[in-house]
Amino acid sequence: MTTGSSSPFSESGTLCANTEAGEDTEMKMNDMKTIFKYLRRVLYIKDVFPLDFRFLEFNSNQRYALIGDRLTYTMRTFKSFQAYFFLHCEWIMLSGALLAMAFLNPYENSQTLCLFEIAGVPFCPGEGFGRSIALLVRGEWVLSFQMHPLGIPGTMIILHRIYSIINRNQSIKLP
Amino acid sequence: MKEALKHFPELDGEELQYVSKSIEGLSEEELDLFKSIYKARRKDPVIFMIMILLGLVGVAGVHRIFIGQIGIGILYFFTGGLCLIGTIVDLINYKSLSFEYNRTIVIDALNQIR
Repeated sequence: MTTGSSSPFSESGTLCANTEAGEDTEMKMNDMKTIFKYLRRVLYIKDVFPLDFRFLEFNSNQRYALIGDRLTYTMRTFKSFQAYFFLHCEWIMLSGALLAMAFLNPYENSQTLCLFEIAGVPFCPGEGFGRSIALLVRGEWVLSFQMHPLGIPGTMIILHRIYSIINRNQSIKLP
Repeated sequence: MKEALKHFPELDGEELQYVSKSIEGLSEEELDLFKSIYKARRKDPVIFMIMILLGLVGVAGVHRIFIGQIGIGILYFFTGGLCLIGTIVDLINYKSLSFEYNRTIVIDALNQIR
């Protein structure tokens, strides 16, 4: 029963033919802006170089152009990089340490992450903490507690700290 | 910014900008009160950094208890600052950690004034 005139393909084809080139570029630009907005919301990025629309602009050739002179631009990107780094370095360290400890081999004392041991200090109070978390990940609660009693609460404390850092970063507005 | 510098010459960077933004609408009486509260309760980043340096000797985590993060302070104390890694990152990060505490003091002080 379908006819050529009522099929969606022909309708969309006529719509495409009617639009002008200017509208098309505008639509593309808006799409890019919404994508960047969404990315910024997900990553909590406020002032980082490629996603910042205060310095960037679409010109007629659809390429990025700089607003303002070069020096202030580089200074501001450097400052915003600093702010970005100090916002995020702590939770990256904590989650990286958790991951590294989870992938240790808990049944041997061959691998070590301890910087005291690498530096040559004979005694370290954190002896067994990494292997304790590795045992916890493998589901052996009792052995984990025997290895280091702070393994289970320590994991919870670190996870809570990561959560609170992410909360803090949402509430801080960078200058 | 200039007014904040006049009242709080010891601040700099992010903290100065935050304080100058938050004292914008205050009257003179309120500003005096805010100044006395904030100077009494603020934690100096230099003292904070000296506490972090204790972690290199083996007494880690005192600085975290000092700024009210007791759980992670105890964890650092009994694991030597996550085997020195956490201490080094805190040493890099000391200013933003002390600002994280001082920011709550600013908010508390403003709430008590109004």
